[in-house]
Amino acid sequence: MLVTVKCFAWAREVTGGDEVELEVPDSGTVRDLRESLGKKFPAFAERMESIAVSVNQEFAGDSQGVSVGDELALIPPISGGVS
Amino acid sequence: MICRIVETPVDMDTLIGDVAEDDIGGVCTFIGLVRNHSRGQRVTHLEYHAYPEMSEKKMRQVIEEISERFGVDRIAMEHRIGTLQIGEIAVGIAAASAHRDASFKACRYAIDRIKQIVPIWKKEFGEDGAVWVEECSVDAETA
Repeated sequence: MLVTVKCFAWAREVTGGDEVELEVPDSGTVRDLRESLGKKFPAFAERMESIAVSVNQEFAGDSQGVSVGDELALIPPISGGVS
Repeated sequence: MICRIVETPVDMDTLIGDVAEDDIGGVCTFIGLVRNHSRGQRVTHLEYHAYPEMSEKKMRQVIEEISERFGVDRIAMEHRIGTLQIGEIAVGIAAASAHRDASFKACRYAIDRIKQIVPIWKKEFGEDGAVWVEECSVDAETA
């Protein structure tokens, strides 16, 4: 299935758009989404562990399922800052 | 309570007015400003980007966590996005409670937690170009 994933900040510069379409297996997971992303954009593969994925506006673990109707997004490290 | 991403200047009086009531004895505020230096480099201006819908949802989560931890329910917060100049307010928080201790704790927790889990990014512009500030990878387990 083809899923649409929102891109922000650094991720948007890499993909070149607000959204990217990724092919993941039916009944796929966040892990599958990451694999597809890394193949399409090697820049992500190099730093995948630093990128969070959200499903329906909540941060998701790698085993969480994704489906076509979900609101998906790539969340690069946020600005954080020295306290 | 105000809890939002804005593209216009943050007005602290509005936030304070939002939380102050007759049963409130103390309001603690935090103001995050655009600083003119970062990691030894001069900064000319910043660009803030957000995932606005998720940011507001996670900011509401922060407010709920504060209610559970400190019993403080009167909290207002705004984070500005877009291009900001040196000295402008990027984030404003006001926390109010009957006695001051809880409002200090709530305000401190609010800014620390915002910086952990709210999907907002800043790009620093300086003499050597622009760089995304990426200091905090979000941990899905604790966010």
